[in-house]
Amino acid sequence: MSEKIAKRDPRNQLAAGFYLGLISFIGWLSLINTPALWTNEFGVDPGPELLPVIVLTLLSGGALTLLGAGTFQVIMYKTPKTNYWTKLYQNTLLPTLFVISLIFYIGLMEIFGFIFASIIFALSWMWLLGLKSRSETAVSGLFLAGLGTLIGVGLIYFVFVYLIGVPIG
Amino acid sequence: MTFLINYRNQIITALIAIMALVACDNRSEAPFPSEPITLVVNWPAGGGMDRAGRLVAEYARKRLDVPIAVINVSGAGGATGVRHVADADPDGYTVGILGASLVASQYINPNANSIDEIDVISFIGPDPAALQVRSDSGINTLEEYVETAKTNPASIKNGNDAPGGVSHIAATLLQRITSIDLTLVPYRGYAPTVAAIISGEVQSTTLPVHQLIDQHEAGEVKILGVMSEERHFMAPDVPTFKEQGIDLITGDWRAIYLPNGVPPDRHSFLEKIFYETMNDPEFQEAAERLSFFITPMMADDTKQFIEDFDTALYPILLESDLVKARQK
Amino acid sequence: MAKNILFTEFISIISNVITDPQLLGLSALGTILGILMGCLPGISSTMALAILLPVTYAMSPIAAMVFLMAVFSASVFGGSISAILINIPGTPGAIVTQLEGYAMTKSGKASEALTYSLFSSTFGGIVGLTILILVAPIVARAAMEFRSPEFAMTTVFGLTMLAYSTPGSTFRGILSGAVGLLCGMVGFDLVTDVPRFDFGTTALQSGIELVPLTVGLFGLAEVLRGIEGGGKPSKKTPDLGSLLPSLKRVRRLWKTILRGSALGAIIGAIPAAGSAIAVAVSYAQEQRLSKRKEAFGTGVPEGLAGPEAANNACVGGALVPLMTLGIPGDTMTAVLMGALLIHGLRPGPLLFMERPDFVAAVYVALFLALILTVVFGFLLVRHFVRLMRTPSHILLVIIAMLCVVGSFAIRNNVTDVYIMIVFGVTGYVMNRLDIPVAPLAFGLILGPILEENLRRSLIISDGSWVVFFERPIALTMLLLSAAALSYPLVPKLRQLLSNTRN
Repeated sequence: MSEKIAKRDPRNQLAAGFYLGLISFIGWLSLINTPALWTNEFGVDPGPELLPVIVLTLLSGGALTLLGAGTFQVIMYKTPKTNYWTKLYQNTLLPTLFVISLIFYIGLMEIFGFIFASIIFALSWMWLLGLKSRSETAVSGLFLAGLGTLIGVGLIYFVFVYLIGVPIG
Repeated sequence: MTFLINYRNQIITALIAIMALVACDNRSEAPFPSEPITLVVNWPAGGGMDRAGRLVAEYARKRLDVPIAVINVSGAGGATGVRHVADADPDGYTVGILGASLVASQYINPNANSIDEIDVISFIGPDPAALQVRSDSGINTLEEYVETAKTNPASIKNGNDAPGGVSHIAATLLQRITSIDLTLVPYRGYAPTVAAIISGEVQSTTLPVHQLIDQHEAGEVKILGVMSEERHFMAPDVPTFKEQGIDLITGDWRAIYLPNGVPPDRHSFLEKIFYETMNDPEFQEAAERLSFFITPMMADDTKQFIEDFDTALYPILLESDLVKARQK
Repeated sequence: MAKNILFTEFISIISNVITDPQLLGLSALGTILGILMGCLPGISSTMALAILLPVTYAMSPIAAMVFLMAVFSASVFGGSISAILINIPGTPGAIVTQLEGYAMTKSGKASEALTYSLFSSTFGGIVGLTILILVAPIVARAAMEFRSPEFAMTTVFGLTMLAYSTPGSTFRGILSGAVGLLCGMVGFDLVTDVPRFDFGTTALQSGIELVPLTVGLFGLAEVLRGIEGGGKPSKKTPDLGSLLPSLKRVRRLWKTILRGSALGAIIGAIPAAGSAIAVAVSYAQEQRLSKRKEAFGTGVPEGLAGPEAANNACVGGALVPLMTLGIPGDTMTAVLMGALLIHGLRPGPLLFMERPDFVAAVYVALFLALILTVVFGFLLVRHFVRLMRTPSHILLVIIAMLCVVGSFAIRNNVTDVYIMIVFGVTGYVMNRLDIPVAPLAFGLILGPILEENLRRSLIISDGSWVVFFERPIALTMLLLSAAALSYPLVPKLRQLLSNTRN
C-alpha cells in the first residue's frame, strides 16, 4: 500500500485509472439521469447537484491523469518483463467464489433462516479451506469443519439472535 | 486439541442454543400468542419513537404470557420499517409502531407503503408541534411573530426537519395558514435543531413542546403556541394556536399497526391488549415522565384520525412540490 | 459556582458508591456487557444502550446511571477489540483503530496493541470526565459557538488533512477520498429531498451507512485476502506476551494520548459532531506530527493511541451538552437522557441547581466504569487474543459470518448486507490496484457533514459566501486549510526563489 510511485508498474497506473474512471462514469450516468437535480429552483441553496459535480469532476480528472501517466510511461519506458495483467487476477478464484457463495448464503438465509444457511455455508467453506491449506484428510477436515461450524454458528446465533434479538432466526 | 479444551464452555453454549432452537421450532396450534411478538420501530434506537416503542412493549408484556422483542428497522425516513411490517406474515406476531411520517412518505417516496397497505389498531397519543422563538428576538406573542414575518418576508429563519418531516410540515402549514414567508433551515433530527435555536443560528423552531421546555422555563426560549386542540400538560401556561385565533393543529403522533390480513380473533385480541396497556395508569405515569401525551383510541377511531390527518396534509405537500409518488 | 460544589460532591459520593456492593456489582455487569456488545460488529454503543435501557426502568435513578454509564463507556473500548483483532470496527468510533491496530496484530503484536488501546482509552476517558466535572458549563457555551459555518470549514480542514493521510500515494488517496465523498451523497438530499445516486432503487435511498461500509471495506476485504491462498495461516501467530508493555513505551506516547484526549473531549462536546470525526481528525493529526509518516498503516502506536484516547474522551465530552444544557449531542446521550427522564429527572441547568448530588453521582458512575473497564479489559484481553489462535481457515469463515450478521444488525436491513459485500469487493480490488482504502471511509464521514453545513450556512446567510470569513473559528479553519494545502509547495517555492535570484 505504501509503495512508492516510482516503483509502481506503469500498467498499474492504467488499471487504477481505469477502475476509478469506471466509478466516475457510473456516477455521471446516475447524475445525468436524475432530472430532479437539474430542474428545480433551489433559491439561496446552491442545490443538490453542486457537490456531486465538483467531486465527480475531480475524480474523473484524476482517473484520466492516471490513465494518461500510465500510457505515457508504457510508451516511453521499458515495462518490466513480468506479466502484470495475469498477476493482477492471480489467486482471485477462491475470493470470487467466496463472494458469490456469500450472496447465495444471504438468499438461503432469507428462505430457510440463519441456522440452516449458516451451517451449509460454514461447513462447506471450512472443509474446503481446510483441505486446501492444511492438507487435512477429507475425514479429519470434515471433523474440524464440523466443530468450527458448531461453535461459530452456535455462538453467533446465541449472541445475536438469542441475547440481542436480531431478527434473522 | 487445545482448541477443543479452550472452547469447552463455548461448545456447550452452542449446543444449548441449537437445542433450544430445535425445541421451539414447532409452531403448533397453541392459543395465540404462544411465541414472542416482535414490535418493529421504524426509527433508529435511541430516538423518540424508539423510546415510545420500548415503553409500550415493556407494559404490554405484562398483559401477555409471551415476551415482546423490540427491533429497529430504520431508513428512508421511516418507510423501510413500515415496509418490513407490511410484508411480514399476517399471523399477529409482527406489530409495528409508527408516526405521522408514514402519511407524508406515501406521497414523497415512491417506494413507501400507502396507509391502505397496513392495518392500524391502536392510537397511543399525539406529540403536538409548537412554535418556539428566542427570547432575545423581541417577539413575545404569536401575533408579533406573524407581523414581523409579514413586514420582512423571509427574515425569520426557522429550524426544522428535512422536507416531509414533521417539524417541516408544521412550519409549512404555519406559513400557509398565516400567509407569511419564513426561511426554512433543514436539520437532521431534533437535537441539532435544538442546538441551532439555542446558539442563535435560527430565530424560531417548530419542534414538539418537550424538546425546548427547559429553555422555555429558564426564559431563554419562548414557546408562542402549541399546535393542538388542548394545552400541553408540560406547558400549561402556553396557549394553543386555536386560542390565539389561528386554526392550526399538527405535529407527530404515534400508533400501533399490523400487516393487512391478520385473522380477526388475533386482530381484536391485540387491539384489546394495546388499548388496555395505554389505559394502564402506571404506563401513563411512566409515559408522562418521558413527555409523551397519551390519548388511547381503538382501531376505528385511529383510522378516522389518520384519514383526517391525511386530508389536511395532502394540499400542503402538493403545494410544496412533494407529491411525487402517488396522487390522492 | 456550581462546579465547586460539584467537585466536593463528587469526592463524597465516590466513597458512597464504592462501598455499595449493589452499585459496584451493577457497574461491573454493565462493563462486561458493554465490552462484549461493543466488540460485536454491528452493535454500536447506541444499540447496546437502547437494548439495555428497559432493564433499568425498575432500578433507582442512581443505579440506572451506574449501569448505563458502564455500558456506554465499556462499549466504546469494546469496539476497538474487534477492530484490532479482526479488522472490523465494532462501533463507528473505532473506524481508525484498525488502521494501526490490525497492522500490529498482523505482525504478532495483538496484546500490545490492545494494551495501548486500553491504556489510552482509559486515559482519554478520564480527561473527558475531568473536563466534564471542572469546566462543563464553559465548554458547553463555547461548543454552542460551533455552528454550521464552523462545521463546514472544519470539515474542509479535515478533508485537506485527508490528503496527507496516505504518504507516498497522496494523489490516489485524494481520489479514494473522492469516491468516499460520492458514497456519502447517496440517498435523499437533506435540504431538497431529491434522491441522488440511488439508481432508481429503494435499496440506496436511505444512504450508505458507515458500519456496513467499514465492515466490508476492512473486514470482508481482509477475509477475501486471507482465503486467496486457501486460508493458509499467516506466519506470525498472535502473541500473548506480557500484557503490560513496559511503562517506558507507554510513557513515550504521553503527548499523543494527551492530544487525542483534548481533541476528543472538545469535539465530543460539539452537538452532533460525534466520535467518528474526533478519531479521524486525531489520526490525521498524529500522522502529520509524526516523524515516521511513511510508516503509518504498518502498526505505529501513535496512530493507535491518539484516536483511542480521542474516542473515549468523547464520552465525557458528549455528556457536557447533555448535563449542562439538556441537549443530547448524539444518539448515545439521547438514550441516557431517556433513562433520566423515565426517573423524572430532566438534565439541564435546573438539575445542577436542584440535584447536584445526582449530577455528581452520574460522574462517579462514569469514573467507576472507566476503572472497571481497565480491570476487566486486562482480564479479558488475554482471552480475546487466544481466540485468534483458532485455525485461520475456521476463523476466516466465522469472521465472514460476523460481517454478514453485524452489518444486518445495524438497521435490521438486508440491503446493508449487500452494501457490505459490495464494499468488501471494493476494498479487495482497490488493495490489488494499490489504491489506499482508508480515505474512502473518511470521505464518507466528512462528505455529508460538509455538504449539509455548507448549504445550510448559505441558506442562513441568504446565499452570501462572506459568512465563512466573518466568523473567527470558521475563518481560522479556512486559513489552516489553505496553509495545509500550500505547505508542500513551500520548499518548491523557496527553490524557485533561490533559482531566480541566482
